Amino acid sequence: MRRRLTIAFALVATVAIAGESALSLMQAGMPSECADFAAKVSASEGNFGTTNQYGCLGAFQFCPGTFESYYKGSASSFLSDPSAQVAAWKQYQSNEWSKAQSNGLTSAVGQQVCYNGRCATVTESAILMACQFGCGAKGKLANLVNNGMDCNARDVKDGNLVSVCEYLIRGSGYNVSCFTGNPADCETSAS
Amino acid sequence: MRFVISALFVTVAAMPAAAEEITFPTAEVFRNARHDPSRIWADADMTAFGPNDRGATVTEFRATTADGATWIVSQIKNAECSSHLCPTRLVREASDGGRRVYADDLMQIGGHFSLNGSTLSDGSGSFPVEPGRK
Repeated sequence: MRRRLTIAFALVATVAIAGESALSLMQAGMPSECADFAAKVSASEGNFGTTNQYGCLGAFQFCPGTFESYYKGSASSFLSDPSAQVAAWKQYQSNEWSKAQSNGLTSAVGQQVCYNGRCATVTESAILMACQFGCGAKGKLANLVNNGMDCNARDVKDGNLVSVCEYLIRGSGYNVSCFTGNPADCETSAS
Repeated sequence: MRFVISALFVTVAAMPAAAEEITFPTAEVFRNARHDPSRIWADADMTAFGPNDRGATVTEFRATTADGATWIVSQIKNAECSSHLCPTRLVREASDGGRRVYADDLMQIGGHFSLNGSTLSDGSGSFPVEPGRK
């Protein structure tokens, strides 16, 4: 009995952190070509109704103060409105891409990056995934580009010593043309 | 050998004061600001994060210690932020008004900050505090 409960709990826990699927994101307005990338991000963030311990909200975990920058309404209405979350995140991703371009971070596209025994070619989707470490002129990705792509430098890591290269590799190979306005720079979407 | 043990004792005895934990329970928020009232951030840092912003938002936590100094954790929501992290500084303001920055990094938005010894935590990760902390 106890084992069955444990398995059931593990299943629920897995479902709870699985994030939104590409299909549910498309139903909320995500362009189909970018749905796989969006689902990849959501998988490590949350579901439409998720609030975490820091007060970050929804399928893409907009943290306090940031969802208000892209949405006019309360936290509860944002949480209960998948279409609003997708619309906010689409605009956020487009803005992050613009920031990455203006700060020279897209110069990393096409370069090979290796970290912890894994390698990947930096694509536009890799840049957007790494923008979770900041796409500003003083962010982790900027530090990486400016230091010659040294994934082990302290200033390319977060407070848990996770390198921005981890995110570049995780995000490589997806179609993000709906955010960047460029033709897809990968043959097929990763899955 | 006796010297080593004595040195070890002195080191251990000195640790509790240095490792005293400081928490930052309350915050003051300056929204859509063009200038930081506490002058921890320059005017050039007061950029907007998203389309609904008219400037930066500075969230400031303060804690005063027994020696009269004030530790300030200042987090700015500006164009350098992601949806999870924002630039954050740990500053010590001495009783005579002199200031020094002890940490400067991207930290968790909505984080629960605490200073313990030579480490600043945002509740999610840890950041080294530069040597010289009093």
